[in-house]
Amino acid sequence: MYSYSRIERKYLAHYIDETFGDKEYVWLGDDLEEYDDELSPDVEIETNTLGEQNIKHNGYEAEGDVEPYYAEYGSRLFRELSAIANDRKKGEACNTTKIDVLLKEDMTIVWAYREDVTVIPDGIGGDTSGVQIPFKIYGRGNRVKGVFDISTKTFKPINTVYAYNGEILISNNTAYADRVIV
Amino acid sequence: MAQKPIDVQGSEIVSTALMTLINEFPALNGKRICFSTLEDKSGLGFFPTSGAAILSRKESITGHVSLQCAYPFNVIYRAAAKSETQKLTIKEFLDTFGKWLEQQPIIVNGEQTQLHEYPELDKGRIITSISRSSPAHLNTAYQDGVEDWLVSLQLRYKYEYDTG
Repeated sequence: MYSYSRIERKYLAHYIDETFGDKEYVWLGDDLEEYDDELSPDVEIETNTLGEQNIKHNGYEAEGDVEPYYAEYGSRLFRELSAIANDRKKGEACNTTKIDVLLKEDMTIVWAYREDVTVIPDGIGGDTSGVQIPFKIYGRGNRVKGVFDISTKTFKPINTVYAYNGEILISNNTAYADRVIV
Repeated sequence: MAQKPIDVQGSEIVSTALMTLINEFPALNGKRICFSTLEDKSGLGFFPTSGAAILSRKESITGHVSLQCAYPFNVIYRAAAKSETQKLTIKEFLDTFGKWLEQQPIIVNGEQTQLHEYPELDKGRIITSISRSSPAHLNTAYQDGVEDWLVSLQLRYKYEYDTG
């Protein structure tokens, strides 16, 4: 009989491209006791004269709060974050990608998704426990399912190729790099 | 009140490291601080009180565990101090010893000195502070005039490791 058990939090891993473009991913969260991808769904509920509800769902505004984040020499992510903060960078310079991975205890992948994100530091400083540079991660969409190799930290999107009539011609295809073909 | 869990391995590691550290106190002038030992009428002894208690445990979302631990200990100076001046000297010695462990500057033989770094413990365990929990004071006076002067201290360290 299958026994149900809670999934330990450490098996839901969040990786971020710490180079902001070269797809070198680092596991986030050594300092975090909690991290959520807050989806912040945009929902409007209208009730008509008959008491029926019309729900208009306009999508999500995903956001995650990485606080605390302690600075460490040798960390590429810290270098990039401090460059953004010190030079007051904005726009493209703050864009990178994040991968969310659910693992099993044997470290096989249950699912993996990659998303374009914007990373914005909240500040630099903190208390005497160490220099902190907390930041927020804002989802920018282009969230794609894929295959993640935990040893090499590489991600390949799973592409699906459809015919004009909607028939799936190729599924679970990872041969095409970085594009979902629809 | 529930008793705090003990980092047993950490207690042993800290005891060993502390024994080395406290015997480097620059004002010892040839004396030696012994582990849980005092002679009948004199001596300097280091006495751990309860082992390394785990004060807090945090686990990060990556499975990285951070323990904050406290290791309380006493240092006892036993002597047959006859005069008020001798007693004052013993008290000052223990207070200076506490200041030195707290990384405050102290004066020894007219020169200022300071402990700048705590010793390394082992992989994952780092001393964060040593501080006095009481000033030096007369703890026990025996009938033969021998007195035990005591200073209580607490060493704090963090222990970090990854869960399997």
